[in-house]
Amino acid sequence: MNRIFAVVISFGALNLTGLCQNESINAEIEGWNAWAVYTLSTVEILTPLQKLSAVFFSHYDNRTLIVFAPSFPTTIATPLKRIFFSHADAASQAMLEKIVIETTAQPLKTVYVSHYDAITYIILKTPLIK
Amino acid sequence: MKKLAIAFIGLVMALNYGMSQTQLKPPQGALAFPAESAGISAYVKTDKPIRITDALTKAFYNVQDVSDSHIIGTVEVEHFVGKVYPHVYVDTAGWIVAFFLAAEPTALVMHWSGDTNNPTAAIKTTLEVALEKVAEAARLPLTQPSFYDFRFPEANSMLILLRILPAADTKVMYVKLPENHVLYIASYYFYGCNFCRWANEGWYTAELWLDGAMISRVEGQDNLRSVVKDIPSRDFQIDQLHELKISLRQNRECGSAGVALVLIYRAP
Repeated sequence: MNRIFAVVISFGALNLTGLCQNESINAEIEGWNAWAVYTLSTVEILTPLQKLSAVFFSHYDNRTLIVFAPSFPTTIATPLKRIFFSHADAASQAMLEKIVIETTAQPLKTVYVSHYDAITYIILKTPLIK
Repeated sequence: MKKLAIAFIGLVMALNYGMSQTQLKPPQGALAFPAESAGISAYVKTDKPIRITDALTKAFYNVQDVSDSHIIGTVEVEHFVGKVYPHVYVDTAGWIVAFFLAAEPTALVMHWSGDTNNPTAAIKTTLEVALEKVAEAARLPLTQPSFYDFRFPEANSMLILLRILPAADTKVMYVKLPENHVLYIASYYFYGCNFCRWANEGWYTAELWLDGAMISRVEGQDNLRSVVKDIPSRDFQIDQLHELKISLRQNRECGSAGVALVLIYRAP
């Protein structure tokens, strides 16, 4: 322990690549060949909208009708590729199959829901990088 | 599910006739930059718009998504210890962001300088090199990048500590963060090598110890082996003096070893 000494590093006085000027640390370090401190700055990266890849319906019943209108002008800007249903009852199953087939056949640009209530919500899934 | 961008729409429609249609649109949409997948990052914002061109695309090792307004993929960065593949995001607004994924070890930021027999004690990050490659392809002058870790919004500092052994040796290093700091992650990049390639005599053994316990050991002959890992939080804490020891044994002086320790923390 006696061999340890406190090093207050004033990086403003150093000229090492990548160091942020006027940044300093107060840490105990010994025995290292080199060190560098980088300041981490909070950033909000305002980027273009990402492609919408999926729509998730938590609930779907026979009062719910989904219509796809690829050519409608005021629609979601990017094509939908997949739709997931967590729940569908017997009355809606046939319609669900048709929707899935059409989803596969051509990219979706709009989703209409004829009716939805408090127990229906939609999750927009964006592509994840693996 | 936690990785899904969620838009909750609570509007209830009155049906005027058999079927009434309500258009659903994402309120704002999801940003093209995958902030929730990103970890340690280096970024610049250029003053000029960036065109997504074929020349820019060729700077990427693997393009994962591209549109008229943005491109994202991996860029190959090579140093003498190996190759790493940080992701890079570029958009027409002028953002260039190089980042490792949240699940990737933070110490991948270490860019080793020199060569296997003569490593140099210089610190640079692989993220900066990735930014340079992309900026060059886009024919943009690169300004000093900023850094951010999307996993830890409260973190305000990254410390990289480097110890190299150009020859067979054992060295002990110490580090302690004061109690008024908050440590988010400690990560290391450790390697050993020997390339004598003469009468099969290039064997080596390199070890890395943390507080008396060996945490990595690499050995071989006429090759290089490395380990990049995050240290479990229970094994590296603030207000504790941590001892690291690195050793290299080798036949003939044709190899080297080194360790880079990367700490992400919040300083007062």
